Amino acid sequence: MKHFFLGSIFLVLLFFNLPYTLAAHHDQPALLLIPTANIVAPIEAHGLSQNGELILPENNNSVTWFQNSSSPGERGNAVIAGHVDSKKGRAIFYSLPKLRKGDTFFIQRKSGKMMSFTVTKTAVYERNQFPVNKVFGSSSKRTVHLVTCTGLFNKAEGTHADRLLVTATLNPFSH
Amino acid sequence: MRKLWLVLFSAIIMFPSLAHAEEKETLVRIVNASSNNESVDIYIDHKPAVEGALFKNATDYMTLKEGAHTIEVYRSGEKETPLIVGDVETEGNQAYTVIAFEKEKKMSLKLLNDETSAPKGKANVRVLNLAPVSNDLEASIKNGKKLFDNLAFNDVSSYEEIKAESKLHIKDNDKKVTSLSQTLQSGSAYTVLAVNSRNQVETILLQDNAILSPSLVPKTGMGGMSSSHTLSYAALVILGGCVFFLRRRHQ
Repeated sequence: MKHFFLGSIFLVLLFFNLPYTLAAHHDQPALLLIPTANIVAPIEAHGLSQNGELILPENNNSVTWFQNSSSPGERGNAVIAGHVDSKKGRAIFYSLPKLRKGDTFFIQRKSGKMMSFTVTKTAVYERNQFPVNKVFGSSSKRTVHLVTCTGLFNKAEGTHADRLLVTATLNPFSH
Repeated sequence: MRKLWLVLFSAIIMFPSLAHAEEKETLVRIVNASSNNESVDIYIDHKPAVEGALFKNATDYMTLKEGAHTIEVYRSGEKETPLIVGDVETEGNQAYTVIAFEKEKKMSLKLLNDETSAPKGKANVRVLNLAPVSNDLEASIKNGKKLFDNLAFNDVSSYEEIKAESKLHIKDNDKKVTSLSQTLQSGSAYTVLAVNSRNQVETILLQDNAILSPSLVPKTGMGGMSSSHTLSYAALVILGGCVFFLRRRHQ
């Protein structure tokens, strides 16, 4: 009886933990390829730091996939961010502004599966007017948002004044 | 010993889910668009959110936990029989507008999911028709395109991206035009409520610029290639040139 009781507790705990267990087994994005902008970037999965900021790769040639967002190709909003520059010069998303509506880019998963996305919109937002709800909220579409800095660099705040947001949707038959 | 292992194993499995049980916040504001000239008290989750709200009054955005919330509307000063009770479901990192309005002489509630911004040089605008006198609204911008038409009572348009500093015109059934006195600012989103109190369409202009988790906006640059640095380098080059020129002149 005691074993049955303990076993039940174990199953209940496992059940409540299921979403996490499933999330941990997603086929994660591994590589971002944007021919129009000559970008080939390894994708690192990161979450938020203790002060609630998105963690970005330490090197300037990789990009971050926000692991609390949807995985690219799945239903919902997937967020990928990369540096536009370092203290010394250009970084991986320096040429992201070359992307235009209608352009195609690709994301390869760790399993090797390749998906293609078409840009539906590019827009520049002031940092304090960035559409957080649109980018980080829920969506019924299979959307990828590429984000980087743009505009003047504000030394006092240690960041750029604006953000470039490239929104793209999964192409049919690519998954 | 076996029991201890089971408990330990369960605790290890439980730990990550606790770490993921992060509660998100949502932003909600309330508008009284009921034109029956009664002021109302509005409660959220049985706690007063706004008291004595008159026709056209709107609250600021209030921060709530994501999930289900109960909205109750009472005549001002009364807490016996609500004019309406409604449940709204909210998601984290989203902004919402709850509108109390009259439909067939009864109080009704409408929940809108808000955009909170627009790209630089643009404004986002949508119109909600809560004017019973007009079942066919048309909106356009001055010297510009028609945004939409045939907007029936209780219908809301989608957000339209328009050039900043534009002025919005709304035309009702009788082709009477109501123009918004305010121009729409760059980077902002707006909801225009078309209402009526005296057989005439009036507007309530709401700016939807809710501030949602600004820390989520990634800091994706160190400034090495930014204009401010480029200017500094240019200034150094010019200064160097001047020093070189002056030194040569003195020699």
